[in-house]
Amino acid sequence: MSTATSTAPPQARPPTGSDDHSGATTRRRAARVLRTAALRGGAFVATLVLATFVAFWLIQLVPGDPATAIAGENATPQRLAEIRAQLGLDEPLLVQYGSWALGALQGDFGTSLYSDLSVTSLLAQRLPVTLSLVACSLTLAIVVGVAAGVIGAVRANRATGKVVTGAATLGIAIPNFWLGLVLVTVFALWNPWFPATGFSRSGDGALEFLRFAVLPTIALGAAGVAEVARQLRGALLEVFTADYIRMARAKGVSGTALLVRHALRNASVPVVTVLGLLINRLVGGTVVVEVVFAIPGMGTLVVDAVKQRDYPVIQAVVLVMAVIVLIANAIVEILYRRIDPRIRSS
Amino acid sequence: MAGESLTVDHLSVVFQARGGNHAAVRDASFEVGSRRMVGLVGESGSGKTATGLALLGLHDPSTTTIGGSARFGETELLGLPPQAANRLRGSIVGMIFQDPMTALNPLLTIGTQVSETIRIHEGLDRRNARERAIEILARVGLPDPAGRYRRYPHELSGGLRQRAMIAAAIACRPRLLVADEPTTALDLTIQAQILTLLRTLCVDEGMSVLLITHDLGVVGAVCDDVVSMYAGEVVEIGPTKEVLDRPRHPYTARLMASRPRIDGWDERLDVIPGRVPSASSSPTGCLFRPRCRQAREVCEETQELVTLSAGRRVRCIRAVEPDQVSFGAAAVAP
Ligand SMILES: Nc1ncnc2c1ncn2[C@@H]1O[C@H](COP(=O)(O)OP(=O)(O)OP(=O)(O)O)[C@@H](O)[C@H]1O
Ligand SMILES: [Mg+2]
Repeated sequence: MSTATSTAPPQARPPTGSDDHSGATTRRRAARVLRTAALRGGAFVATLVLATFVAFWLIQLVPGDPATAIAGENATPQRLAEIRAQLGLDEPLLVQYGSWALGALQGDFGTSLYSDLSVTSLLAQRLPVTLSLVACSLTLAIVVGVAAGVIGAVRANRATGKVVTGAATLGIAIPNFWLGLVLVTVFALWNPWFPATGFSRSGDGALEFLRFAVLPTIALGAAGVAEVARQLRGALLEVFTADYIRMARAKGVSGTALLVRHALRNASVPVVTVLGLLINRLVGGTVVVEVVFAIPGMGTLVVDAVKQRDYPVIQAVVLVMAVIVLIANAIVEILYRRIDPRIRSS
Repeated sequence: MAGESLTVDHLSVVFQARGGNHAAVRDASFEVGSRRMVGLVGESGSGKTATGLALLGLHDPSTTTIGGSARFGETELLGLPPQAANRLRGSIVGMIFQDPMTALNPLLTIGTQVSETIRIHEGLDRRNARERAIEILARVGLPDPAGRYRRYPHELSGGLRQRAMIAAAIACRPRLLVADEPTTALDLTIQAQILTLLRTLCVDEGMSVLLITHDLGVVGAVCDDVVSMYAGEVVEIGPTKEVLDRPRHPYTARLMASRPRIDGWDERLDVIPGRVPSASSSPTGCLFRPRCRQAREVCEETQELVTLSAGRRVRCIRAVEPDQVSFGAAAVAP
């Protein structure tokens, strides 16, 4: 393939182009794409099975017993045994997991042990809240992080650049719960500009949504802003010294075209990696931030469920979060391919 | 339209580094006549690239001080305000670089990178720029230009990438082309093809070409004139045939004697004993003196670039002495 020539030493290059794509190559490429897709799909399912099974197993290790939690401390042993049998808790672990997985495959996640609501309806209430919070934080990280990264690189030798870079270094080190508490104290308690807790209900309107979302979004997304800014700045500074930037300038390319088309595009390759990691971290971090702001999302749902050993809920949340992370990573992969033709063709 | 020539006068390029200033080019003066191809030769570190970049205003102004003048036709190239410099680069003065893999943007198609020049300077829309770009790609000898237009740099071989880069640089028919070691990364066959292409552009399109190279063989094959550079100083200038047949500066003679051979291709010119003096020191006298076998006491005085005949200048005391000797190959043999 043509990619082989790019890594070979110059002397070894064939004198003419080796970049012809015959029909056979195209067919081989199609077969490869199919195989890759099958492998990816398999890995996707395997990851979900593994994640949910480990969650299942971990719940068993946690001291305490859902039957006791349901029936109360003073329940008779018979009552406890009854409840266990009812929940299937007396079965071996694998059998329990199997019946859970079978249900989940049909969209039946069971019923919460406490609220008597179906887990599906709980998810329907909570998932949109968490998704919107994660989406807002991600947007914040990208928009502000990219702007700060560009300023930090373009003005690297000037005061503005140094301030931005310093702020980014600091931002990475600040834990989200601490930032959340500070934000609540300053912008909700001392100055009652934003609500301290809760989240808007659907149908409240965009303004109301923003009022509730601003502080938790900042708390959750600040570290991401800093991370994106730092990575992009570093990548840009390196790209600025590249030969193709000098070549572009020699052609008369300048200003925005030079920055966006030539520099930013190349610098965004390592930043996309950061975005993938960032999404994973946001999904995890939402648990803490939702607790700090008492937001009725997946995070608070799972924290309550863990406290109460409400394992059908825990299982479902683990599954959903794993799916979110996997989808996010798949999107990152697609982004990579869109940006870099060398990845596309390898 | 034709008729502009490049006149470089007392050009100096000084890099400001933490450990002190670093003079990469000192007081360099030479010409590139209209429609001529001039070879700028010298060892690694002698200031060839620094000279070329200065002509296009591509040095970082925050760390580099440029002095002297470089006029192309009526236009002073040095010290242009950024906007004027951007207009000039790619349209009047073009530059191509050594390594076609790193000098092409890996994320953009060949077509985008060639038509970009056209769109910037001639304001053509995408379709018209595409047509023009494909013409240019054909002009530089790229087979299947329309197909290659959509390809990415990594999908092309080294020789084709170099052609694509040349196409991007000459897309707007610059009157002056600075080619910085355009064939070093290529194998011999491709090298000859690229040199022929540059020669054709010079003759047919009336482009003046400054060909930067450390290889006098390349110069002998395609250049009209030679400028020999040592430690940032121009030490010898003249028509190619005269200089190669009868070098008047010992350094040029040594460059010729240490020419890379076909079998040991990437052998650089460090076979001249001694090293290029540190550019930060400002020594007096002939800079080549410590490495020169013919050095004498008089060489400790500063040497001027002396005109011997029209277009023939040398910075060496022996060249102007009545009992001058030739530094031909016989003289440098050990
Ligand atoms: N940006 C820079 N900052 C400081 N010093 C530099 C810079 N660029 C080049 N130099 C120095 O200036 C001198 C001349 O460099 P230049 O690149 O012009 O050499 P050259 O003749 O092109 O050599 P080569 O054949 O290796 O390309 C060298 O000593 C080099 O180390
Ligand atoms: Mg160089």
